[in-house]
Amino acid sequence: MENLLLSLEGGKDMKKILNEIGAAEEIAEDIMGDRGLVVELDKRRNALREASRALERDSSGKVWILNGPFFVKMKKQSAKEVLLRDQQNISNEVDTIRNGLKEKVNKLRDIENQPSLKGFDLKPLHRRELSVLGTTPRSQVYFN
Amino acid sequence: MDDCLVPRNVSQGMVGQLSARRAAGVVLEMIKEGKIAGRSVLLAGQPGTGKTAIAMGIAQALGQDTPFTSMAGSEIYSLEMGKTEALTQAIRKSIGIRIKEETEIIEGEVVEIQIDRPASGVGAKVGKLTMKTTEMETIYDLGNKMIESLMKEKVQAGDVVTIDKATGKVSKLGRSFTRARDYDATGAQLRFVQCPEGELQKRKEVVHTVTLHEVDVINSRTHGFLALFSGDTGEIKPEVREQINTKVAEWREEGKAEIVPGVLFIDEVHMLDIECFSFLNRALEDEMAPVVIMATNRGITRIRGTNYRSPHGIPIDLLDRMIIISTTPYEDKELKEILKIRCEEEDVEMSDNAMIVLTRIALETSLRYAIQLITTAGLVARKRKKTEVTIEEIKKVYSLFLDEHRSSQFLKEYQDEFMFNEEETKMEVTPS
Repeated sequence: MENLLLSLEGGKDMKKILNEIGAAEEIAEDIMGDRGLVVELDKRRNALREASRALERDSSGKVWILNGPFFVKMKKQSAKEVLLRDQQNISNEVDTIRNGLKEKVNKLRDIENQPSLKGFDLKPLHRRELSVLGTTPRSQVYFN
Repeated sequence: MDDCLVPRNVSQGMVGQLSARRAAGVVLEMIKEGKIAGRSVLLAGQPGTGKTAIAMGIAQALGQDTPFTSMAGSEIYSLEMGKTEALTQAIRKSIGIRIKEETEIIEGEVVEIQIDRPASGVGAKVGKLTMKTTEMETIYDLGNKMIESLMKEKVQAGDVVTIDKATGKVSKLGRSFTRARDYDATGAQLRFVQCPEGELQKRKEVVHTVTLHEVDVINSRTHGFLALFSGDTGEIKPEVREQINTKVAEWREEGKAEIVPGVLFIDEVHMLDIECFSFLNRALEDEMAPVVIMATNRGITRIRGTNYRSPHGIPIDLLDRMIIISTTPYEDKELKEILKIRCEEEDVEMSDNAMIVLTRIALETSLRYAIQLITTAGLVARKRKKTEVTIEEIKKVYSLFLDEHRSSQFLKEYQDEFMFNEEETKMEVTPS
């Protein structure tokens, strides 16, 4: 925030400053929202996983599944498939959100006059390919 | 410098030399924007005018990410490898590749581990692992391999661990702060960390920058990475380099790598001979070439390896392609500032009079000599139990340690008395 204020010429345009701060806050809110969403989705995914596990152990042929507001009775096999499919959907959703996050963070850094994080838009290398290089101390790490 | 690239008079440890610093600032921006790859810059000026300091300034300003290699011209000559090999290595040390590694990991605090050994004594163990973050908690069913990993790492409730989803590797990050009170005595290695936040399953992305030279060395022989540490790299086969160049080009095509051209700083560039210059000429035309910053304090000198004289000892065709920044000798006030800053650095208090005398000495002899006097005078003052250096101490060290000019005078007068003196030997007094 100090970067932002220092770089704008003092007292020149109060409105402009307010706008920029507003934009920064908006993106920051957005990012926080996204991160919260990822946590919720992960919770849901883990719950589904635990449910699948429980199903494995259960021996009966048919089970009850709560789907929205309805209880549905279905064969164990179909139930497993439903759970698996849902987990996959959630994983895809989470990946999409995380990819979007990278752009938003860079946009925020841009508004705050910080240099953008370089290299995160690269495609990742496979393990095999990594053996060609040695990893060195010059790394930047960020958790998504 | 301030944001408009106008150098402040005294800033970040640099004093004066305004036009050279301003020029350097422009060059720096061009490097950052990648507009100057393969071009070269020459810093020329009398000894002691801050050329190396400006190059160091550029290195710092570029930051950690950009490779910066510094070498002296005479380092090229060695028994271990040829000149062109030494130059190629130096150039490849200044070109970086940026790549990204991505893994999915599960990171959280262990709430409970429950492992059941089968009653019959034979068969796989089964277990459950409860993990949490500040925002969620879940239970995992453990397979045999996982149980073994966890037992090997001696993971207990309260440990904060990371599990790599792809490899199944378990790493302990430490113990949770909330469990700090559990025991009265802990081992020396124990670290306490915060309970992780956010989701349990995270995507970890690591961006690395490696230099081409490092890649060369690792691939040129088994346990190549050891060679990196020992510095004993030897000559690297051109086939290896070919392969690596191809691989890197492939990755660039696929969007998996970025080239980061860096800076190669060659000091005392007049020590390079004509073959080196020809080599540099060609090397700089490569599309991945780094920015080369050269520095020299020679005027019109003979180019090594020839009998031709040329400005700065550099062939004219190379000079033509270079951006030349010249440095000028410092003035009074600037010298004083520099000496003041150095006194601060060396933790030596100096009286105002002593400072004036020292500045005069710097003007008449050389800046470097005056800087040397600071430490020595400081020592003398300490021996005499004084808190600050006064004119007495300066006089003392001035008489004890000769500067270059007095030293050569002395030699001229007493040369008969020195060993191995031959009559009529014209000594070339080379500037430092």
